Amino acid sequence: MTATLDRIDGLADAEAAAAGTASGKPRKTRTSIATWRLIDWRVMLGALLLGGLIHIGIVMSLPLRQGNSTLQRLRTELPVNRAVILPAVSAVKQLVPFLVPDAAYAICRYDVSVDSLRISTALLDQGWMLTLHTASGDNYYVMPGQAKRTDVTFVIMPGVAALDVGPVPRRFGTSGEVQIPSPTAEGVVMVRAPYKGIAFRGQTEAALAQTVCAPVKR
Amino acid sequence: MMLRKILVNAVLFVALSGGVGFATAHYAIESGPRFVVRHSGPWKQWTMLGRPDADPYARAHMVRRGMLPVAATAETSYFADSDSAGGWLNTACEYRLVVANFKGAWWSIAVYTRKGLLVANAAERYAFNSDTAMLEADGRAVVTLARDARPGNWLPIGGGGQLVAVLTVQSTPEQEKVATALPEIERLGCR
Repeated sequence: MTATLDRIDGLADAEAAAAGTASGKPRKTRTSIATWRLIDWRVMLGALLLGGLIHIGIVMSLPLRQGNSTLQRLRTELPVNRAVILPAVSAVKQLVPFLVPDAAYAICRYDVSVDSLRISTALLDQGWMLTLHTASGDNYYVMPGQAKRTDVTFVIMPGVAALDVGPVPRRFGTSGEVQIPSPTAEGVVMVRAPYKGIAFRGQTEAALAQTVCAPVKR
Repeated sequence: MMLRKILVNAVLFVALSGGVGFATAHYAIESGPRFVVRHSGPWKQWTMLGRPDADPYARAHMVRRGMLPVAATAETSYFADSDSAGGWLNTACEYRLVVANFKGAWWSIAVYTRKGLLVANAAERYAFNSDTAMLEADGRAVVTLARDARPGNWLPIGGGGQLVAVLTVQSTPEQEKVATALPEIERLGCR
């Protein structure tokens, strides 16, 4: 292919030179080569391979380099090991991106490196949701509300990483309480209480305010 | 000649490797590759989002957006940044969604900016859920996304720029049927 193109270029140069000589004009000999012909396909293949490595590097390193900005923000704004009822989610005050806005939230930022943590709350209805997140935001435990009230009490303590989500990581302590091992020492407990309408707002927030998050000695 | 060849190849090597690496990584983290994100009409579902055993794309997506997602075993969040015809969701346009057939499961629909922030509006109305949406006689909820007030379930989208609609549905034993019942996003018109 390249040889053929060289031949074509050579013929064109010869014809042009002959035409220049015939007209009596001096002609500068052509020495430039089209840029695209300088490209080495092996270099381009190497570039694509490097591009793939850059892709993998960016995707894999992003969680390590950046960390979850929301949890970093919560660390500065919320007390540790205490449940806080967040102000109503609005465009002005929104701590967590993509948070379901028509709900009240109780958040407990925890650190179980010293003491364990007892969580007590009630999930009153469908849409209510209790979630436990690691320091990077992973949701390692979840309990959705049912049509009938569910009272929930358990203890969070340091433990091995749970690879499944659901009731699997539960275990029972010597006093019979439900224990949930946290994969990381720090994390977040979040209880969501959806509003059923303006008339029910106070009732929903009052029920959510019963959420307790308190350290217990190990 | 040799110097020029080296220069051309070096420039192309850097541009191609950097371009391919950064562009594909950005796309994969923001939108998700096909083998990670499930598509259903205009709706996208990151199936592993929030799970401790999430794939690297879902994990990077969560961190980049600063989300605290609920794992899909308990509830599913469907994201749409385009309407059913493929056009970007935009504050300059008006859209209609008909939510139905969730078999009694709790659901919520809200609209955000592309960064996940709520769209500021004077009515301070940001979402409807299965308890707050007004239902038609046949049980469907018709939700209108528009800049100006509309009758029924109106979600204000004033402001400017592109939008992301998020439909959250609590899991039911018939979860697969929910995925097939996701609402169309019909564009009614633009300014």
